[in-house]
Amino acid sequence: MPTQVGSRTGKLFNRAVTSFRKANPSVALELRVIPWSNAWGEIMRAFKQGEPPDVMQVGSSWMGTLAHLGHLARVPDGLDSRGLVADWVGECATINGVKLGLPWVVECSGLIARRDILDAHLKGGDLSSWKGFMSFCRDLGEHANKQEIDPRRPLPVGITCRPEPVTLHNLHPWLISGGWKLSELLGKGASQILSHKSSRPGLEYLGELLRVNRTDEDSGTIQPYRLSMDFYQEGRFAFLIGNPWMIVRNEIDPTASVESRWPVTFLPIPAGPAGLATRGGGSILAVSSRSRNQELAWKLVKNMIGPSFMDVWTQSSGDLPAHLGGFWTRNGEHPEIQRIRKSLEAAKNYPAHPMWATIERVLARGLSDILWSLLANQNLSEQGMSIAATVDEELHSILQLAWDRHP
Amino acid sequence: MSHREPSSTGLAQMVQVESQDLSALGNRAALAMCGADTSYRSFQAACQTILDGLHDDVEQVRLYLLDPVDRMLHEEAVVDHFGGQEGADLIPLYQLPDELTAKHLSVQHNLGEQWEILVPLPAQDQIAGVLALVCFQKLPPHLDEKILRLGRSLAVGALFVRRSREAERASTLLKAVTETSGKLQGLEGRNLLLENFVTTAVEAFGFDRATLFVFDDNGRKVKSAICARTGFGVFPLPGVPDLPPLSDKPAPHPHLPGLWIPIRMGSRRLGLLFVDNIYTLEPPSRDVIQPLVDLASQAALALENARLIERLRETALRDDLTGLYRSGYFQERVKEELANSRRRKDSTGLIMLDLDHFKEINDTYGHPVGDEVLLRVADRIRQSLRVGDTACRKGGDEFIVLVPHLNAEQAGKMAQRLVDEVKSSPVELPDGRKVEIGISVGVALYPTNAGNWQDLWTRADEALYLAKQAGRGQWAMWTPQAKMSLGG
Repeated sequence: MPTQVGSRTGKLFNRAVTSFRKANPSVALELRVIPWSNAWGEIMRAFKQGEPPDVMQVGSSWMGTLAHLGHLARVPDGLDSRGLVADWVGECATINGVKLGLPWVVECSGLIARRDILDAHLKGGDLSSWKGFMSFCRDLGEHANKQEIDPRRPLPVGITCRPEPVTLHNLHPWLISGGWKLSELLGKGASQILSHKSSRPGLEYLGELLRVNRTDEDSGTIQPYRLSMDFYQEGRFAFLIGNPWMIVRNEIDPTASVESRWPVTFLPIPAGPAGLATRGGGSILAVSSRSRNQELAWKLVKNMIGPSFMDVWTQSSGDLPAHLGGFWTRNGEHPEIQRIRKSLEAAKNYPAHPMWATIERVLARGLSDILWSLLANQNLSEQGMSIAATVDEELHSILQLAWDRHP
Repeated sequence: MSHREPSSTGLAQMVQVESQDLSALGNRAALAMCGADTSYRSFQAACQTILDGLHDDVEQVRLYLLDPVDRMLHEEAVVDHFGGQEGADLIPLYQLPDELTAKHLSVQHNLGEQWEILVPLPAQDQIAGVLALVCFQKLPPHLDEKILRLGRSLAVGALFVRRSREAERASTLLKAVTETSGKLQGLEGRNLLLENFVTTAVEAFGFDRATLFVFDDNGRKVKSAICARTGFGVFPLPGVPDLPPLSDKPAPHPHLPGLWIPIRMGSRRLGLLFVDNIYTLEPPSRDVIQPLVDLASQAALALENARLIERLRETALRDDLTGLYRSGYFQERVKEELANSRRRKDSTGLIMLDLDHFKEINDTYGHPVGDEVLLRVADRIRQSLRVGDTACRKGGDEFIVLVPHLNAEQAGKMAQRLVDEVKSSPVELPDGRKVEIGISVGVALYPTNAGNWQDLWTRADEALYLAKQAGRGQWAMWTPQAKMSLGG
C-alpha cells in the first residue's frame, strides 16, 4: 500500500485497514492525506482532472454541493443499518431522500475548559449563560499575564479570526445562540443573511469576547492546530472553542504521545438570548459516481465504519465514531463522554443547501472581516454591517449563478 | 538499516552530516532534478542522492515544492531505506513557522524516537520548497549552517523544476488553444462547435464551469445557453438567468472568481462566455485569461462562419418567391415526420393546395400580379401554421402543408379555414381593382389513408383533384370511395 511512508495518518490507516487487506489481498490501496484547509479544493481539482478518488472522506457540510454536482454514488441498499449517535448525522448523508454516503466520524462544537483554572477561579460562577461566561472571561482577562505565555495566568479563550471555514464552524453556534436565523433566511432566499438584524447579538457578543480576550493580530491568526497546542501544551488560554478530540483521545488512551498538560473538561457553548446551540458535523465516507471500482469501494467504506477499524482510529485520532456500539458502549459511563454525547445529540448541522460548500467559505471570510472590524471599532459599527452587506451580495451572486444543476 | 542508539552523552552524533560536504551533496541532488523529467521521479532521485550521502544519519528524506498560486507545499517524493515513492502530502505554507519560511532557518521537532529536521530551500524572500529529513538524532547547533547549505544547493534544482513546469503548463495551454482554434475552424455544426468551445474552457483552462450564452441574430436576446463541467459533458441550461449589463471587454465578476467574456464580430454580439470558479473560489491563474480571450475571438469567427453557412443552407432550401420550403427538403420532412408519427402512434395530415384559375389571373393581369397572388396565398398558409407544421411550394401554383398530430376532424377544419382565408384576401391592384383568389384543397391522413409517404402524397393529390372536380373553392378528404370515383 503506497501511503506516505512517514505520515502518521498513513501509518494509522495502514494499521486500521488490516482486516480489509486480509480479505482483499489483491486490492492496492493508495491513501492521499490532505489538510482540511485544502481538502475541498483538492477534491474539486481531482474531479476536474477526471481522476477522482474511489473513496472520499467528505466534510458533512459538503454533501449537498457534491450531490448537486453529481459526484457521489448511491449507497447500495442494505450496506449498513446500524444506529447512529444522532439523527442529524444520518440526515447529513442523505440528500433529497437519496443516501449518498455513510457517516464515519462526528464532532460537535463546544468549550474545552482547563479544570485547574475553573477550580481556582470560578468560585460558584455560571458558565452556562452568555452573561456568566463573559463575566468569568472578563475576570480572567484582567488577571492574565499580558507579557508572556503564563499557564497560571492564562488569557481567557483560544479563538481565531482566520478567514477559514473552521472559524465559522467554531463561532456559528454563538451566532445561532444569539438568535441568527441562518437556515430560515437562506431557505427563503432573503436579501439579508449575515446583515440580518438577527445576527447582531451574536456578532456583538463575539466582538466583546475578543476584546476581553485581548485578541490581536498575533493571537487572532494562529492556525487551529497550533492554537490547540497553545491551549493543551502551553497553557496559554483557559478555554478553547472547538471540538473535543483531545479529551476523547486522552480519555481512551492516556498514554497518547501528544496529550494535554492540564486537566480539561468539555462544556457546552453557553446559552445566549435564543437558547443553547451546538453545531454538529463530521465526516461522511462517500464513493465517487465515476469510480470504476464502486463495489470494492463500498466494501472498503463498510470496513472503515466497522468496529475493528474504528477502535484503532478513535484511539489514535480522537475522532468520535458516528455509529453506536463499540466506543460508545465501552465509554457510556464516562462523564466527559456523556457530556459530549449529550451535546452531539442536541447539535444541528448546517442548512442542507446545494451551494453550502461555497456559502460556508464566503460566510467564514465575511465573519472573519467583521470580527476584525469589531476589534478595531469597539462595536458593530456601520463598517461591520457594511461588510455583512457585501457578504450578502456575494451570497446572492452565488445563488443567482448556481444554474448548472445537472439534468 | 537499524535504529541507532542515542549517544550516551545526550549529544547528537551525526557522523556523515559532520564529515560530508553538504553543498556538494546538495549540488548532486539538485542536478538530479535538472533533467528533462520534471515529474516526482526527479525529486525521488534527489532524495535518494541525499539519503545515500547521509545513509547512517537519516532514516527518511522528503522533498516539498511550494506552489506559489495555492501557497501549498506539495510533497513531491519520499524515500527511505526501503524504497521511494511519489509524495502525497500537502502543507499550507502558513502552517510552517516563520523561522523556516521567512527567516530561512531550519527547524526540528521530536517524533518520539526520531527527529524531523525541516530545511528551507530559499528563493529570494520566499522559499522554493522544503527538505524534510527524519534523523536518528537531533541536529546539534554547530551543524545547522551545514544543513542550511544543503538546502541552498537544493533550491536551485527546485526552482528549475518549478520554472520547467510553468513552461510546460504554458505550452500545454498554448497547445490546447491551438488545437481548439483549429477545431473551431473545422467544425461544421454550430452546436458541436459551441460544445467544443465550452469544454475547452473547462478542461484546458481549469475553470470549475464555463457557460456560453448565444444571442439571436440581432445580438439582443439570448437564444440558447449551454454549460460545461468537466466529467459531465455539456448540457443546456433550462432557462436563461439574468445577465449583467454587457460590456465590450472581458469583465471580472464583482463578487466571485469569474470572468465575462463577450464574443463579438465587429459591433455585433454573438455570444457571452462566463467562466468561473464558483465551487473552489480560487482566483483564476492570470496566464489563462488572455489565451481564453483570444480563443473567444476565434470562436466568434467560427460562430459567424457557422451562422453564414446555416443561412446559406436555409436559403438553398427555400423557394425564392414565397420563402416557403422547396419540394426536395419538404419530402425529407414528410418522411421524418411520418416516422415520428409511427412512434407516437398518432395521425399526421398532408394538405395539398392549388390556386383556382391561376392561369387566367396571369393572362389577365400579367405575371407580377400572379406573383403577388402567390405571395398572398403563401402568407395565409404561413399564418395558419402551428409550431411543428411545415409548408412548401411544390411548384407553380401548388402548395403543400405537413401537419403532425392531426385527426380527420381537425384536418377538415384546417382545410376549410385555408379556403375561407384565401377567399377573403383578394389582391388589390394599384388602380383599385380587386383580384379575387380561390383555392382547392385535398387532404390525406397518415396512417388512415396511406402507409407510407409516397402513398400519402398521391392520396392528397387525388383528394385535391376531387375538390377541383367538385367545382373548385372547396376541400376534399381522401376516402377509398373517392379513389373509386377517380377510377382507381
